[in-house]
Amino acid sequence: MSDSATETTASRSPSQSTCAVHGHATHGERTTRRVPVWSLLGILFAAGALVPVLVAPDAERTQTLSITFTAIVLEALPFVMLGSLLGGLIEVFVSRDRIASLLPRSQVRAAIVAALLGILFPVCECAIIPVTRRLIRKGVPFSVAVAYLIGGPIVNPLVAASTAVAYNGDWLIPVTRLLCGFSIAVFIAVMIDELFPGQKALRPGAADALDEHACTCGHTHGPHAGHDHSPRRLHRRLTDALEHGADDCLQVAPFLIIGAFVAALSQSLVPRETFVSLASTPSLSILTMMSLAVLLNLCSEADAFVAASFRTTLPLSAQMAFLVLGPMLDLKLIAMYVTFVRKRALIVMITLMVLLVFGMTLTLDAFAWGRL
Amino acid sequence: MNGRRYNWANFLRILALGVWIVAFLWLLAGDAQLEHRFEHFIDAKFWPLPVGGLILAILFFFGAYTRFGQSTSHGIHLPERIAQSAILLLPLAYMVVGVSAGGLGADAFRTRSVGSQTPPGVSFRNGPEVEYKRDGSVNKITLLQLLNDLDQLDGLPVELVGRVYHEESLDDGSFIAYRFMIVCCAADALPVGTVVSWPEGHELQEDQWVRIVGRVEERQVGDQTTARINAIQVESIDPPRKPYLSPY
Repeated sequence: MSDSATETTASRSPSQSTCAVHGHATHGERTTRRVPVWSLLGILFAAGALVPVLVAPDAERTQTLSITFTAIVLEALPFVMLGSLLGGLIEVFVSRDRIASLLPRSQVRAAIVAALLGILFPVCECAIIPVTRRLIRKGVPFSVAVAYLIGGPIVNPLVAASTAVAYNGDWLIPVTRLLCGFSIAVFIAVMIDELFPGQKALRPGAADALDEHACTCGHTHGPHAGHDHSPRRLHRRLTDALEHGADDCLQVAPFLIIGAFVAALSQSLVPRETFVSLASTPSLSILTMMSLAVLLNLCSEADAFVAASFRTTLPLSAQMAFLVLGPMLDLKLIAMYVTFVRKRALIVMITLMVLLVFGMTLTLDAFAWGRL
Repeated sequence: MNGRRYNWANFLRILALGVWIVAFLWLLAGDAQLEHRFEHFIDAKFWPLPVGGLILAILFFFGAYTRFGQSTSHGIHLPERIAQSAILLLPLAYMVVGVSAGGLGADAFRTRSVGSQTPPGVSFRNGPEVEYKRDGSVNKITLLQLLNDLDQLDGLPVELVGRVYHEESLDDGSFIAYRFMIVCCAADALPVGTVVSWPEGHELQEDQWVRIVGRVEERQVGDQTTARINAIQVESIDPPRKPYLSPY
């Protein structure tokens, strides 16, 4: 919430900046200048969202909403926490120089490597976001981070295995899914690098760790973190990492919860039959399943089973659109992307994701899978 | 004033983490129906999620607590922390309602079903082939097995457990016995069910758990093959220890 509030602040002098870690304003910014409009909206959202459980806790619809909402949160929150912890450890123990030395010099090659990182670190999209935020603050180019963000949850052995199981061992489906996800991740990364070179796609403050003095929280986590000028004990650095992790988690988790609530609401209110009745042509089927992927907010390691349940009603291309788009774009992910990506860049990213998935799966439908 | 504001903001951060620690402990404890409350929401084999969440919440609590008296969070304003904390605590209210609901019911079955005439058929063959008894004795099966192995079960006597759903198109007293199959959590729950022919079906309460004994009949509806159980016995039972089915 604080990132958003920071952006609503009125004119800011060049000497004022935003804490890289906590997202809050520093360097003497006067607290009275901040307009807490997002905070008020957040409080109003929480109060409004409580209405169903306060007014009709025994209603069937409220119970469905409760189970679905809690299930999404319980499934995703531990991954956000894990990602936040990894991010905290990266902040304290890995220096910018070290990360820079690991990245290939060529942007395209770096994007390819990043899109394949999910093979080594098979975690879902919720864990990837806090890690990505921290990597960006450590100087990883945004375009490279985007490749990891989009490719990681799909190009992933656990996702491949669960997709194969859902489709009765038909390996063509997971292989196609991985190839589509990988190529879209690399393509979007390259496009973002062209359209928003450097860190121009980032919200103010999202990459401030580049400035050694950006944060005044008292820790040493600027460009030289990892080889401190002041010697510190291991337990102190671990405590720093935990504190950074806690703050990252508390910043990202509310957005996850907002997205999860909207998703649970849509799952509880909109019958799936409605989506099937809309899908009368291949292109409409694909668009329908893409909308469903955005609304359902399923984990990439479980969504194949839901896609497979449409085998008798929708073409395979539409199921593939669901499988490819879901891990890169859904309501909770959009809510979490907002915490560090500029509005314009986010619109470009979302547009590219939608167009590429639609184009790719429509092509599959026309040339390969039309009648499967 | 600033000092006080900073202290309250930090206090709320620690409070939110502390409450989540209690919530994870509560979910890991059992209730009258299930061994662990989290099984109302996620599959039992995903126990590392609440356990991991608990451990991480404790670690974060520790990290935040050790910084409580230091200026690590100045600049984070009280309204922001209140908003963060309010949203973070929101799922807890829904958690309590979700546990008392006792699993997804007819409302979710209606919303998630795809297909108008018959219950949604899913077929996931992931385990070894099961040899069913053909000597006239009853095969104890799940609804998922019924849909997976319908060709083998056709004509055999079976016993299975499900919940009652009354569909308007079934006007001969028949009802649908359904359950949900989950892979990971209730968000990905898929309804699986079958029509049960039972003259007194309309007397059964919707969402009541029942044990059904009957003979399987394979039917062709349009271009879909579906199952039907011609019941010889239907009895009400308490909710099972595992409300959801798993494809694994």
